[in-house]
Amino acid sequence: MEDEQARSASGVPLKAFYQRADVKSEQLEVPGQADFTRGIFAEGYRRQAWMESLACGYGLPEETNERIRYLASVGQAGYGGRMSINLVFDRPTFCGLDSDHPMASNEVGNVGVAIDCLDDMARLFDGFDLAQLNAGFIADRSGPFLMAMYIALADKRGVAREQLRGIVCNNPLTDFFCSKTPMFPPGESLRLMIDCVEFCNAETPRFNTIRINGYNTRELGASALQEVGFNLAIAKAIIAAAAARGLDLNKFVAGINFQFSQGRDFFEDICKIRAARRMWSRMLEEKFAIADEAARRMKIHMQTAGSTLTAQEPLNNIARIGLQVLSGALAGSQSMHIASYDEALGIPTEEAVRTAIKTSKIVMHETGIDKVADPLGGSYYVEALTDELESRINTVVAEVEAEGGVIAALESGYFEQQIANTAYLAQSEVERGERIVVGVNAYREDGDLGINEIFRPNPKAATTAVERIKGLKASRDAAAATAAIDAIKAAAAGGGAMMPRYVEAAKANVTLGEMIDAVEAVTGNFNYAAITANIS
Amino acid sequence: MKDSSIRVLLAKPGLDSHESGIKMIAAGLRDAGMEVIYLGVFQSSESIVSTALEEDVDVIGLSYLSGGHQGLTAELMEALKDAGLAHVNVICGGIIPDDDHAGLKAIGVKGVYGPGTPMAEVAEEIESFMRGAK
Repeated sequence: MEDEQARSASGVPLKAFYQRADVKSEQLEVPGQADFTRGIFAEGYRRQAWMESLACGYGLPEETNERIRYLASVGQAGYGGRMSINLVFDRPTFCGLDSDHPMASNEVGNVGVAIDCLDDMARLFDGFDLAQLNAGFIADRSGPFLMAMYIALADKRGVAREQLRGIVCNNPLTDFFCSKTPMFPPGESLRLMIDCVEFCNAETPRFNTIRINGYNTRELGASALQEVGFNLAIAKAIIAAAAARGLDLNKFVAGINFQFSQGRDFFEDICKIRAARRMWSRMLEEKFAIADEAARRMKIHMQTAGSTLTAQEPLNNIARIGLQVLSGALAGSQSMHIASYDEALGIPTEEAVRTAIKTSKIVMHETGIDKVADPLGGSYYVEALTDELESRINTVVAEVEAEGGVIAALESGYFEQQIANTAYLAQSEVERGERIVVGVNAYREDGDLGINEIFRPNPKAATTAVERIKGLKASRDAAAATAAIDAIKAAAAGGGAMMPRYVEAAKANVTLGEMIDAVEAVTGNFNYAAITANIS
Repeated sequence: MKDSSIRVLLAKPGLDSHESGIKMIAAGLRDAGMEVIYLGVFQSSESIVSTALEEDVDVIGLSYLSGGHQGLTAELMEALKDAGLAHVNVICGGIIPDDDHAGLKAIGVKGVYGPGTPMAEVAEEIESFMRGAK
């Protein structure tokens, strides 16, 4: 019996079973061959296991440094024996405000690490060999500035820039609608992000320089189709801007990394990744004439969906996260953020992050996923759903183009409106009980089945951070700092290269907030939140 | 003239920008027949108080998912008192540890709602304490 109501999370009607005739595309390719539907390497995880890169950060830099050591001590591993560090910044740092900004006082170190200056960067990486890291900077508008501080730190420690590896997220376009961070205007944001890529391609060629964040799009309430479609459209706009600046596109696209979510719909989330890889490779070949197949491999960072985790019966989240790691692995992800079971309650405890790392290890070593690439390849259902999602995602990309392209869609609040419509429908399904969330709208328990221990970041972090800024400003060479700030303004006004100015400013003990203010003094700012507040 | 529907001002104080939840609540409370004004993210106590005055609201709903709930709510409660708006009902939602609920209620917050609270439940609670106030 076919249930006519059965649909995937993003609305694809589903048959009761699939057979050979349902598969449209010819499955000639093997894993590791363009268009990479089946994964970017023939050897799958025999080549190397996925990198565990748990977003980590809270309080003062030295406190996050301790948590990074703890993660490594329980097994978190980067590529090729390197240490993996994936940094999440507190809201002030993410927004580009110093800890002593009036808006920052209640939020220093709450949900990420507070970084104001080069000294903080040194405290954060104290004791780590920068040449032996995969370092991630989860920051978009402030990404290039934090990257400049990291490069300044490497220079100071005598580590060659080309030895640095990792990723700076640096994608303000998606961040406009995902986190409504105060921003430079869209066109300027695009220029500044490409400026960062151009500098890093030359100076830190092993560093990934853009992360296209489908995950945050999804967490905002988007469907899988919008998650992939909006972000492919955004990536296309970014590459077109790089092409217009005459950059080497082979190098440029090789530094792009995608982040997608796993957890709303097990099979759909696997198939959307397979479709996304195929579409990316084809787009690069057909629209941007990138002939080198290796440059067309879509590198994927997977994040288990925080929004699927429940505050009710938090231990149930361990089962959810285990399945999400498995779907991420079946999809062929290169790196993963594995959430902790207490994520719906706050910053994870040590026990919770340890369980997250061990969950990753269990999937890696106890399922056989490390032995054969793309084990789902050829499944009638998986191949048919991949084809169907590709077709629907193409429609989403075309709709963005019809809105006048990405910048026009940002300025009109289009993305926000589309996502809000989807989110409200999905929430209504949960409230009506059409979509079951165990422990929330079904199988509910009475009484308190929560967990006892909640992690609290250091409540004195703000006081210490503010004192440090005061001390820094009193002791630095004031003339050098002013000259560095003026150099940033001059480069911003003259259209010159920005990153070398940021690196110099970091070395002159200019703070993150001062650098961003200097740019904003020239470019102005853009209040995206005001455009979208009444979209719901 | 004020009509009979309950007027609710929703806002996100501070720098936290997770607004899926509060937008959901905005839509849910509108569906329940309330007048909802959503101010958006990055709000200060001043912007919330001045809108509350202009719009003559009955309820202010604040959403926090980045840990600023204690300090930011305390600032707002003081600002409301100073503006003669101590009678306005304040509720909070988002990721707020259970241990902090009592502290928020002690400074006058009427209700604290965690993740997964049905929209209808929030609407019913608002209606019930509005009835109590009349």
